[in-house]
Formats: sequence, C-alpha cells, structure tokens
Amino acid sequence: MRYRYIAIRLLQTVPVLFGVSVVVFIIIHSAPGDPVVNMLGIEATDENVAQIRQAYGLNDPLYVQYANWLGGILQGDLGQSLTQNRSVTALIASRLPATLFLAVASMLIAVVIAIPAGIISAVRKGSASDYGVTLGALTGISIPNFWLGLILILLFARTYNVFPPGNYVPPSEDPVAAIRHVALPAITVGTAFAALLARQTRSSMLDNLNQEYVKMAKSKGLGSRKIFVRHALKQALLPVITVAGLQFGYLLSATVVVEQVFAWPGMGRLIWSAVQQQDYPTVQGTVLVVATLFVLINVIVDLTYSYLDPRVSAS
Amino acid sequence: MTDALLSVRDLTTEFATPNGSIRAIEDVSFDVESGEKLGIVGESGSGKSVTARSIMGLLDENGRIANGSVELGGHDLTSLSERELTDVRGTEVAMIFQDPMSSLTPVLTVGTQITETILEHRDVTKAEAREQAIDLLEQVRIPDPESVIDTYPHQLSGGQRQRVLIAIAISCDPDLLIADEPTTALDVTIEAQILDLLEDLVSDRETSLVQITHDLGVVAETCDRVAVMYAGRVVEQGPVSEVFVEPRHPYTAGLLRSTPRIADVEPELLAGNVPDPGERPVGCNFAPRCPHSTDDCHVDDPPLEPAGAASRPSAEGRDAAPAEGREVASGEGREAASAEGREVACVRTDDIGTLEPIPEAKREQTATPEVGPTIVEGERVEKDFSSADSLLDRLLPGGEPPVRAVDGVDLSLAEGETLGLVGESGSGKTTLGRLLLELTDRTGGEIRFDGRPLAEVPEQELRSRIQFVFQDPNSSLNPRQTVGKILRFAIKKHDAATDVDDRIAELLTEVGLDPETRHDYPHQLSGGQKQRVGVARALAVDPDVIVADEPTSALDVSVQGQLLDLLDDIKRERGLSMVFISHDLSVIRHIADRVAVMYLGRIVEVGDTRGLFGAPQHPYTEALLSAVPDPDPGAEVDRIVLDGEIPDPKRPPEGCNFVTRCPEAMAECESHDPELVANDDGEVACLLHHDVVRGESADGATVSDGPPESEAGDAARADGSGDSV
Repeated sequence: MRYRYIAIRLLQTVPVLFGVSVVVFIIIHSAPGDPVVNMLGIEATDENVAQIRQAYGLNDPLYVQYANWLGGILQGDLGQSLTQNRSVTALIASRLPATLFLAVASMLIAVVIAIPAGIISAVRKGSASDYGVTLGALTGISIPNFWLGLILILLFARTYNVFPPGNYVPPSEDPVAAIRHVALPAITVGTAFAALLARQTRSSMLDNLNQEYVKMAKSKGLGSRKIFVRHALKQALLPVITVAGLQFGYLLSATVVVEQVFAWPGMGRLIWSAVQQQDYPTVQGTVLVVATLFVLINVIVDLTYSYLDPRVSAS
Repeated sequence: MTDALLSVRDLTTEFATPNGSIRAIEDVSFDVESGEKLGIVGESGSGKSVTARSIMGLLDENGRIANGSVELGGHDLTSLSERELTDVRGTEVAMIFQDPMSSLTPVLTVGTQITETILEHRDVTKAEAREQAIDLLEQVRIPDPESVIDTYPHQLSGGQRQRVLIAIAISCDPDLLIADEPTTALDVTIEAQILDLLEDLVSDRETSLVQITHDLGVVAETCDRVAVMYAGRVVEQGPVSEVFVEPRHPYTAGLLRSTPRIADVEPELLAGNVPDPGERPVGCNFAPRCPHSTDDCHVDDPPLEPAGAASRPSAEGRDAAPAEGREVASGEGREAASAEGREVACVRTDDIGTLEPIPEAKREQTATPEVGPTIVEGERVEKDFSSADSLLDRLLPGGEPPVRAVDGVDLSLAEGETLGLVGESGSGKTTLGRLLLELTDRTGGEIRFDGRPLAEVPEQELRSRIQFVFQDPNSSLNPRQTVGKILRFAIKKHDAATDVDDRIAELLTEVGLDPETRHDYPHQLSGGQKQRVGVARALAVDPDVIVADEPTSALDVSVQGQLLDLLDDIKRERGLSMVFISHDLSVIRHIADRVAVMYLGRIVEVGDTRGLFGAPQHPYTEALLSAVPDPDPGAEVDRIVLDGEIPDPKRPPEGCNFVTRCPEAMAECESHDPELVANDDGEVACLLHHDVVRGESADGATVSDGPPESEAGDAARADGSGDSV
C-alpha cells in the first residue's frame, strides 16, 4: 500500500513539472526586449545580431524552440547561457550548493527555535512565555528580510565584529568558517520562517491538546509530559511539516534578495542577473531547477506524513 | 460520610464564558455503592457529562468545581493536585468515552495505548504489559488480539474501537468505571454487543459502574439505580425498577412518556426545550414545562429530598389536573410502599404522588391510510462508490474494489404514504434516499417518478416535487444567511410569482416557528428550530414527496418527539408522501406506515409497520428489534445478540449478505442469494421463507430441487428479473 502511494505521488510530479516548464518558457519569452541586443550592446550591427540569433536558434518559431529546449532537458542539457560562455547546467552546478547550504542553515535555525517555542507557548497558554513567543513571532513576520540583513551586518559585522558579513565558504573546505559565514544570511532568511513555524506549531498543538484523545490519555492517569509528547506532539507536527514544505518556496525566493545583500554567490543572484539580461536559457533552467526542488520537497513532506500518520497512505 | 464507594455531594461546576460564569451543574449529589450500577440519564444540557468529567477532574480549562466534594475510596478528589490525581485515574476510577472515533490517539497503535496505561500504574516489564494487553483484548472479545494489538485505531471498526477503549479502562482494575454514552455512536446490533460485554465485565470484576446516557432503554437494561438529571440538577433518583415504573418527578414521567418505544404505544409530546445553562428560570428548572406546576414552583430551587412513598393516584387522576392528585397522595401512602433510597426534587411531590410512565393511548393504526397510486418506484437500483478517484489510481494495479452501497434495490412509495427506511450504518439507506432525488448518480437500475423514468423528468420539475430534509441542520443551512433568506431563495427558485414575504411567514408558522425567526441566523436557533427551518425549506416548493434523512437523530428525545409530530401533521395536511430514513427503530415505528429494512445495500424485508414490528420475518429484522433497549424495566428481554460486525461492503459475503451473522444460517445460505419475495405478511429476502434465488426468479430457478415456490416471486415481480434499462 505504501509503495503504491509513493509511486502515485512521484508520478504526479511529472505533469506539474511539465506545466512549470511551459509557463516559464512562455513568461520569459513574452517579456519585452531582445536578449541578443542586451548581449552585444547597442553598437552591435544588424548582421551580428542576425548571426547570433541564428546560432542560438532564436529565429525558430517558439514551439520549435520549446521542443528543442525540452528535448535537451530530457538528455540533461539545459542549454547554453546567452551571456556567459558556459552551459546552464554548469552554471547551476556552481551556484546551487551555496543556495542549498543557505536554505538548509536557515531552515535548521528556524526549526530549532520555532518548534520548541511553539510547544512551550501552547502548553503554557496565557502565560508570559506564551505572550513572549506570540509577540516575537509577530515581529519576525513583520520585518522585511533585506532590512533585517542590513541591520545584522551593521550590528554584528561592522560594530561588533562577531560574524563576517556573508561571503560563501564551501563547508567542504572549512566547516567552521562556513558556519560563521552563513550565520548572518541564515538568520536573515530564517527569522520570518521561524516566526511562521512557531505560530503554526502553537495553534496545531493547542488544537491537539483539546482533542478527546488527550482527555482520554489524561483519564488513564498519564502525567502531563507523557500526554504532550506522546499523544499531542506527533500529530501537532503534521501541519507544521506541511507548512514548512510549502514555505520552502518562500525560502528560495527570499534568497534572491538576501543573496544580493550578503553577496552570496547562489542561485538567487544567478536568477537575478539572468532575468536582467534576458538570458533565456539560464532563466528557464534555474527556475525549472528551483521548481523541481520545491516539488520534490513537498513529495518528501507527503511521504513523511505517511510515515508519521498511519492514516494517510491508507486513504 | 457514608460507606459508599463514590459519594458526590453538592457538586457544582462552573464554566467561565465571555458573558460571565455559567453553572453547568448545581448541587449534584449521589452515591454509588461497591458493585452497584448507577445510570445518570438526561437530555443534552442536563449536565450529565459535566458531572462525569467533574468527578474525573477532566474539565476543560475554563471549567472549575465551584462547590461540593467527590469522595472516592476515602479521599476527596476535588482537593487532590493534578499529580495526585494521576495516581487515582486509571487505577481507582477509569472512564469510557463516548466517541470511539476521536478518543483514541490516531498515530499510536492500539497496543501502545493499552500498555502505556499498564506501565504507568503497574510494576511490569514491557513484554509483560504486552501480554496483559493481549489478554485484555481477548476479554473485550476482540477476535485475533495478537494481530489487532499492532494495528492503528483507524484500521478498526467503531465497535472494535469501543472495545479497545473498554480494554484500556479496565486495564488496571479500577473500582469505578464511568461510561459516558459508550454506545451512542454505535449501531443497534453493536450496541447490544457492547452493553452485554460491559455487563459481563462489571459483574465479573465487581466493579461499580456509572453509566451516563440519554437513552432510557440503556439504563433500564443495565443499571440498578438511576439519577435523572434536568438542567444541571438531579431531579429524581432511586432504583430503576421503581423510578421507571412509578416516576415521582413530572420530568421523569414526561421523559418516559415521550420516548418512542418498540412497544405498541403512542409517545406523548413533552413540550418546550431544556433551558440553556445561564438562562435557567427562577425556582424549579422544569416548572415552565411542567403540567403540574403552580406558583410555588417558581419561587425556590426544590431540594432533592427523600420521597415519601406515595400511593398511586386513582386511574382518573393520573393525567388529570394536579388538584385531583392532591387528594390521593396525602397521608396513608407515606409509610406504605418501600421508598428506600428514592429522592425527588419537587415541592409538589406529595400532592402529585406517583405518575404513570407509559402513555395510555395505543397507536391508532389504520392499516396504511388511504394509499394512492405509486408515485416513486425504484427497480434494481444500484450505486457503486469507487475509491479510485484519480486517473493514476485507476491506472496503477492494486486499487480497492468499489463499494456497492446500494445493490439492486426495488422499492415503491405510494401517494400519501410514509415509508420508513431503516438500517445500520453502511446499509445504504442514505444513499438510496439520495438516489431518489438524483442528488447522486446511480450506477444501475431505474427510478420512475409518476410513472416516468427520472431521465425524462425535467430537473426543475423533479426538484420542485421531491425535497430532501438533511440529517444535520448545522451543515445544511448556510450559516451566513438568515432564515428568511434561505427560504426566500427556495421559494423564488420555484415560483417567482408569489408574495415571498407572506409565504415565508406562512411556512415558518406551518413548522411551528415565530415568523420573526426569519431575521435570525441559523446559529441563533436551537437544534430543533434549525431542523424546523430545514423542513420549511423543503416545504417551500410545495413538494409531493419528502425524503427525510435521519432528521431527528441529532435531537433530544423531547425535541425529537415534537419534530416527528410536526412531520406527521404536515404530511397528513398536505397529503404528502414521505420516505423517512432512520437507524432508530422506535422512531420508525412511530412515524412510518410501511417499513423497509436494509442490510448491506439490500432490502431484506418490507412490510406494514404493525406487521413487521409484531412479527418480523427476516432474522435480521428480528435481531434488530430485539436489540433495541426498552425503557420498561419489566419488559421481557429476549435479546438476540448478533455476532460480528457488518461485513466490508467492498467484499460482501457469497450467497445471502447476512449469512455471516445470521443466527439461523443454513448451508444453502452460503451459496444462494435470496430474492425479495412477497408473501402474505410483506416481502422478505430469506431462504427460511421461500427458495427463490436472486436474479433468477423468472425462470423458476430455486435452491436445491425443492418444490418451486417461485410463483409468489413471479407475482411480486411481474416484470421478471428487472433487467430494465
């Protein structure tokens, strides 16, 4: 039953990704402006432009261009960047680790802070710590991340030299430095995420504590710690995981801005510059990769669900 | 104080609400002796569940015990800390919750949930605890406990889950079990099993039991003593055999008299509603509804006092004016009969004397009143529900077979008739009701309305001639629309010409509501009022047929009685036909002219109400009737408890659907599927009564080589085996 469920969930991602590829392709190609002109500058001769257009297949009808692109993807080739003399695949390979590192670090920070905070807040509903968490979460959601990034740099990098202001160091090279360098950008991205998770954890924990089976557990004579952990927490985390999965998209989009602030050489900056230069293949490739990541994360969330909640794969 | 095991004294529980604190229960006092079974009975809002939860210390966080004590085994539970209470819960007192669906933690296995209780209170290893858990599952009669122990709650049926809850409750041998409506969520035949089980466990272990229920029948069959609660107070208590036979409090009598019974009596109306906590009247809470009330009743709350044994008033005085009762009750009665342990909270009890629990009026059963021609007719109606809803589900192997909810059903409804459709959950009764209105598409068969196939009846006509009354008024009335708006929509949809405002007022009056109700939103109405609005909406289009799906199952006995009377009146006045769907046989008995009993998607028996209830033909009908708890403690209980549960409708048994549970199953039942065949007393699908096999009646194909009795079958099914389009 479970394998069947996994198979269905994985097969379902195929049409989604196909849809994403179509939408991305259409949007980028309907944007005004000409990438070749961008590429060559205003002094380019018409001949040069025509040559390049020919070379990159930009004169073909759109559906042919799309078919070529799709054909390439199926063979693992995302095409050639219009602005940099490299394949899109190579570009992404060089940028993706930095972004993933940032995303995972942000997520860890958020989860480590938010879930315990949410639980405490729910279990001690109405106490000072509950108000503290609620207020903190509200603040966290309200602060724009680019501003928070700047303030953190000002405070922890300029005034008190505690952390370096960004600059990616691959964790494979120097793990300690890598962590020091990722601290500020990860806090910047993670704050709003943490705030959201804390609120979700609190409300779903409260919801569970009001369930009949919690009363039942109490009537058995179990102590409150056992009731919270065994009978409420596992289920309370289900919606939290869903939200976390969905918000992974937020995380990736936040990196576009935050990577600019911290000069972080990740996907965000790559997308940013590619869009500005109308580098069709690079935009298409990066967005598709990000979308795939997003879909995969949510498949993983669903599968986690079926592991945590025995009812899911059955229905 | 006393030597009772549990002694509740003056228990008062308050809940903090935005409008100030509200007393849910007030001055509740009762005792439970060792080994005694006490029933606490009352309608919703009576405070019976709050009483149970106050004893257990399981109140919601806005609740608190304002006064009183709960002494159990020598200590006052109300004064214990939460930590001290954990030692008491489970070992000295345990609770069986109402809803087995929501009372087990869905992410933990059954085994974990049983063993954690044992591990908490007993000094045993995990392996020992597991063994004990298996043993407990065996004691609650769960088949194959070794594998059930590792299942999750959602994999079990409702009845099995309730058994698991019981296993948990008895796991540490508590002295007192509190069962809060343990069978309310269950089907009648499963209810009978669970009540049997509880009875056996409690007497084997000499455990005391507090059974909380709204069902007088359950109390009559399972309890020694009863406390009747009304609006937060105990109004009467004493031995069941006395209270239910000679009630002293007018509410007890009213409740008993208004309860629909299987027996041949017409239930009486108990007018009015239970007041909400916070809106209770000054003086006796029941006074505004009480036929015996005088000015004295509106002064003070009557205390619960030992009732003097009054003699029964003369026959004339029973239901008559209180003045007559007064003469009879004075004097001599006091010392006469045993009044041991009887208490009543009524200032006029000496005047009123004892009351009569059963209304005199017999049902005036005109055999199926002026039945007109057939208006709705179903032939071999089928409905499958497929669990494979997505394309991938259908393409991949290993999917589930479809659920056959309605499996080739023939039925007819005559003009002016009320057809009761009765069955347990999963029998397909609701689906069949919906198919009649094309609220859902059928998979096979034909339904004719006025002789025309439904496909030929224009939707507009169909919708204005058949209407549906839904089970749950909370979800079938739009919460954002006022009553007026809801009705306006229905009226305009079908007849734009009439003066809508007049019509709304007319409809509301017809269903017994104040026309001003039109300005209210559904949430401002009580359950009974909401359901009246549901009826008014159905009537708005002047239908010929009403299909009512469990319209009273969410309502209390007294409100249910009011609604049933309303439906009956409306039906008579308007000459409507009605299909009344219910799981409750007593209700069906009360309202239907003819009854069809469904089991696992089939109709197993049809007959006129009196005949079917008097002499059921199908073993299932017989078991169903015998399983209904009777509020008369003197009633002869000859209960047939069916084994097992309703089979999975995805995999119905071979042969007769009922064969797996039938107490009279024969060898041929396992291979031959009986046809519904007419005889002198109705129609029945059972090989005990005929030998016509399903689908082959036209050819006279019968079970074995016995004499072909299939003429009867052919007569019943003039059109042969029903291969219609």
